Amino acid sequence: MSHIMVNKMVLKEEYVKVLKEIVGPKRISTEYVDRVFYSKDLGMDPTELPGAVLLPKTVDEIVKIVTFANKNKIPIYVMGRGSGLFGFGVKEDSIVLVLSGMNKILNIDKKHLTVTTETGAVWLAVNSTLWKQGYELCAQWHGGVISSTLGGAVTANTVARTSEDGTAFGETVVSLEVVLPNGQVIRTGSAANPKSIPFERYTLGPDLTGLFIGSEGTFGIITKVSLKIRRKRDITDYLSFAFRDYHDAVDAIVELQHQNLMQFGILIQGAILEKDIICKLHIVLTGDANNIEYKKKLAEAICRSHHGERSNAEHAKNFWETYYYSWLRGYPTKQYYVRSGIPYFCPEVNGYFPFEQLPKIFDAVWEEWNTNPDIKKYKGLFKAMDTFITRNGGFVWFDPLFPKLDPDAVKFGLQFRNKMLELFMELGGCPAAMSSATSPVILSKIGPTYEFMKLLKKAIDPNNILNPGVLFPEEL
Amino acid sequence: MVQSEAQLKEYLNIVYRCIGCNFCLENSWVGPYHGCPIFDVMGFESYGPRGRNLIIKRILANDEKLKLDKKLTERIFSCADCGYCEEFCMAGLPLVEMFRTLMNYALEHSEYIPNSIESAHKRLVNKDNIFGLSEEKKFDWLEDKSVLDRKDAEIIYFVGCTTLYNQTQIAKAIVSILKKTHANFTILSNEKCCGYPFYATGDLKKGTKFTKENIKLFKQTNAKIVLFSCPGCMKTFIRDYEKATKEHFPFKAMHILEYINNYLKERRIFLHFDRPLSATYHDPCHLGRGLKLYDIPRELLSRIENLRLIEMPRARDKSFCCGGALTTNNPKIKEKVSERRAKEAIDTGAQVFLQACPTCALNLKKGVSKLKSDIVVKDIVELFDELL
Repeated sequence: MSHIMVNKMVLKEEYVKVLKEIVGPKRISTEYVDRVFYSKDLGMDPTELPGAVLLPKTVDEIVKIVTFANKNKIPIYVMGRGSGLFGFGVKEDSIVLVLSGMNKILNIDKKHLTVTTETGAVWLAVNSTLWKQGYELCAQWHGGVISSTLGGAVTANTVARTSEDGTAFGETVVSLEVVLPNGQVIRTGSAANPKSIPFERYTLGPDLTGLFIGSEGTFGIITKVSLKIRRKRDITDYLSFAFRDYHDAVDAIVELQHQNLMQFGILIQGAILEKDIICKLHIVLTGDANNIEYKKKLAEAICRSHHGERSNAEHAKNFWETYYYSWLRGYPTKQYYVRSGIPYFCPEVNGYFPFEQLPKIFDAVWEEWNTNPDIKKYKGLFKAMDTFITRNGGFVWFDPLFPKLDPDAVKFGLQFRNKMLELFMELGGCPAAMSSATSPVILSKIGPTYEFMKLLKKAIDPNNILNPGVLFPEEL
Repeated sequence: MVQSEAQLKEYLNIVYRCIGCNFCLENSWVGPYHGCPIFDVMGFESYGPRGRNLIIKRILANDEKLKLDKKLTERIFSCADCGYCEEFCMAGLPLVEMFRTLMNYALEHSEYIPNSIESAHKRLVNKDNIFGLSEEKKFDWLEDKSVLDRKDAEIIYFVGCTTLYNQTQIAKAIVSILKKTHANFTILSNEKCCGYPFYATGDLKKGTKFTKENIKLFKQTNAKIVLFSCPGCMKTFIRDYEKATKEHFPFKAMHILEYINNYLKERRIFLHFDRPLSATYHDPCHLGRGLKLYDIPRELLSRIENLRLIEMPRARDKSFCCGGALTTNNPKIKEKVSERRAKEAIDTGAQVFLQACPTCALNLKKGVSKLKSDIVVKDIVELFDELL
């Protein structure tokens, strides 16, 4: 059998030929530079070079690619914008399917309050299109970069910037269209009925939508996404409170959430806070002329009663309106990202925590940071520990920084991340997005639940062609 | 070590600061659009800013697997020099400069330089203009030759290659406007290319040579102001040249739209069309992102009664390129880029498609013609010449 030799990569020539026939010659690349680019996301975890990168444009093309790959047992890695931070774990000789080109907004259903898009549609692009028509996504823009895709957000179970009940990102997914590893196309929720439309998720049997949320592309390739939308709210206002003790802040947050006041709240710790200030709570309030002042006064009273001190709400406003995280700490973005002088990488650790565990994880992170001598040795920086307030707890992001160009610091940073993940799990944390590097640390802790997941994977993808190694080992 | 390699090495600590936010590609603020025109057409990241960053990283890492072959060279040169990526880069990276330096590196190292670039550079060196046309035809469009080489003029109108040799209707309109407004101006018969095509591929040595020669010519007059119809030329003189040489451009530089706006404003003049007309305006990359002139064209248009401006989704700093530097860097991709921008204008339903740059005029006319649309492509100066 003949082979194409591309920089030591071996890919069967007939495979490339078939794939080229499926997507056309302009939407396949075996060039070294493309294989390197699409071998990883924004993380620094080790990866291998794929054999080919494909840019399919239609579901039919994906079906053909998957059917062919399944028959020949070629691993497929699925990518949106590649904006994840947790490693991608691509294996040599695999195919990387880049779905960001499938980015159409297919239908805005104002009667049933849903939007249906192709998988590669970008979050902000969808929201800005909705805004022009007086609507918005129920789960306002999410934790990742605003240019990440909706399909990627579903598959990674992203955390949305919303603190309201019922608007966690996964809860706003109404229906999905998915290509299974055998090439079959299925629809979940009410859209499974060919005579119906995507308007209800919990119908026609078990909640298959939930099966794919957070599955990291291991059960199927999401090709269409239907999400809940709502009318755009009339008024947005902002509050910021500084706290000298994060126990006080968490107490205030619990009360704020019981009163259902915040559209979004974020508690920030780490760099660039004023002297003696341990943390700061930025609050985004939305409503109409009848209730916004009431919400604001009540939120303010709650924060004050827990020793919160009024702080500059302009930072919260700038953050919310420009999407730039740097504003959380009062910095214009370009200034913020160059402040450290040398390039850093961020081995982020994150996870959901119930309210009662939040102070404990904050204590533990600070304890580790202040006592681990290697952090200083490798010139680590504490960029941030920010907590997205959720309905009944918080999604904690711990972002340390380590010098990107120092291989030892990178190695240490990745080890440190996994150590912190262990700590997160130990303290009741529940990480969301995972990768080949982090899933063994996380999923090994959930015993029979993980075994059940493996059973499902074996049944759905017996040849283990979809994202092998990401959630499940290469040999199941 | 050759010059470009040393220059690239200066970016070691910079290129790794990319945080991968994708803002260099996306234009999601306005809907499902891209900002980088090359990525928009080609789809692979290696044609976009993040891919170019990766190429620089691999070169700096001495990656032997990275071969500067035909396909990689093509990717390196597929840059429109539109500045979108740099405008929105969250990490504030000097992407335009980095990508120009990368092109210069390829010019020095690759055996696969696109013919379109090689021939353009040859034409410039041999004939002092990008079209390689003979000096004899340079002023065929100019009826009143007495405006040439007036030593006592206050204003030099620097016409620029594309206006001189291709979009001559713009030059005619400007001369007409300058006369109608009684400007004391001249055109230098021996003006040369500003050097932009060299700057745009990172060859600062050759680029600054052209700019300096022009400045020398300007200095032989008594003029204080240099007026431009081409924002690319203007940006070359007052931004690129200054950056490359650390020398200040010793004249007041003014775009023709600034001149007209000042004239109308001082005299409180408003103009009008007899019948309602709808128009959309394309912000040229170099005029907008390059020189930050977003409001003046709009202020000017607001002085015309019966003219309704319909903005395209991608406007002002989010404007989508017409194809710009791709004219020499990758003509095939340029055609598609021009078509996409033309379609965006056509979709507004406007009757007239305005811009303020001869290169945009050239590219967008082609785009509109390919789409067989009736929309009329005009430079703003043509509109004002009709009305003044």
